[in-house]
Amino acid sequence: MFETISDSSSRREFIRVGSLAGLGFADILRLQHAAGNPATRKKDVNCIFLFIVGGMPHQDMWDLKPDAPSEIRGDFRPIDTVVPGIQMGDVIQGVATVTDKLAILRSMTHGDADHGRGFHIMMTGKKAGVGDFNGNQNNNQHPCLGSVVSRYGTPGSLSSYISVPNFLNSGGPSFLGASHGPFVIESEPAGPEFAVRDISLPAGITEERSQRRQLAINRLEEQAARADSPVHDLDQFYQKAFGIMTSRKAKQAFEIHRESKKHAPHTG
Amino acid sequence: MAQALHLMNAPEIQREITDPNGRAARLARSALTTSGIIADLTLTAFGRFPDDREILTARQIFHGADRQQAVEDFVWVLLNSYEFLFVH
Repeated sequence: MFETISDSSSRREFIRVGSLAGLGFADILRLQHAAGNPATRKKDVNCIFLFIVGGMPHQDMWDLKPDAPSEIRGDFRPIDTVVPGIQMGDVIQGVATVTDKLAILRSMTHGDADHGRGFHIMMTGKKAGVGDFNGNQNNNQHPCLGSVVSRYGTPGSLSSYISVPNFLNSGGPSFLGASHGPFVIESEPAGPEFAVRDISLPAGITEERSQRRQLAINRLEEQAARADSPVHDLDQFYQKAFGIMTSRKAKQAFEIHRESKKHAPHTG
Repeated sequence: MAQALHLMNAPEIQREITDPNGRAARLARSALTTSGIIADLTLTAFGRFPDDREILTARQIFHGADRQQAVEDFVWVLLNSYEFLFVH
C-alpha cells in the first residue's frame, strides 16, 4: 500500500516519498520502533496539515532569490531568523522567530503541472493514475493522509480526521472505506459565527431520552454493525457521531471562542 | 458524518417531530393502542408492517415512557434507520 522504508534507507529517501504524506502511520510507528526510542514510540501525535490552495509563492516566503534581477526577485526582502544561516521573507517575521522549531523541506516538488493531480500527490503521497482530478467529486485513487491516520491511529472520542472549512480535493479515504473519510466542518473558523453544527442534542431532549433513542436504533440496526454489512461504513459514522455528541471533551475541542484572541485563526 | 449528526440533532428535524399538529402528536392523542401506533408509523416510513424485532424495539421505547415522547422517539428512530435513509 505504501512504500516500505527499509532501515537502511537514507534520510533523503525518507523525504523523497513525501515525509508524512508518503508514509503510513504504521510505517512511522515501525520506524520509531526501529529507532529504539521508547520515549516517542507510543506518544499521540496531532498533525495540522495546512493546505494553502493558491498559496503564497515560496520565493517570497522560504526561498528568496535576493540575487536575481529586480524584475523577477519579488517585493520582499530576506531577513535573518533565529537560526544562523537561514533567511526568510520579511513578510513572515513571526515565523522567523521560531525557525529553530521548523523542519523546512526546500527540495520538495511533485513535478506535475496539473493542479488536480498535484492535489492528489500532496494529499496522498501517491501519483494519480488516469482520470479527471479537477472535478468536485471525491476521486482518490489512494487514501489521503488524514484517512490513513483515521485507519491506523488510536481512536478517540473525537473524529481522527477533521477537514476545515471544507472538503479538499483528494481528501478522501479511497479503499480504506467511507468510515475513514473526513468529518467536514463547513464553517469559517475566523468568523464570529463559527460553530460545528448539530453536535449537541436539540433543546428539550434530555440525555436520558437520547440514550433511549440510541439504544433503540442500535437494537434495530444490530446487523449493520457487522463488518460484512452493506451499511457498515455508514454505521461507523453513526457510532462516531454518537461519540462526539456524548463527549464533553469533543465538544470543548470545537469551542474555539474559548481560545485566546492571540490564536484567532485567519483563513480565506 | 455531518449528515448523520444533522439527522440526529438538527433543531429543524426535532421541531418537525414535535409539531403539535404533526403526525406524532396526533397519534399520541388518538385512541390507537401502542401496537396500532407502531404499525401506523412503520407503514408510513417503510411502506410495510413492522417485523417482530421492530415491534419489540418499539415497545421498549414506549415502556414506562410518556406516550407523546415515546411516539416522537420512535419517529426519530425510523428517520435515522438505514431502511428509511436508503430505501425510501
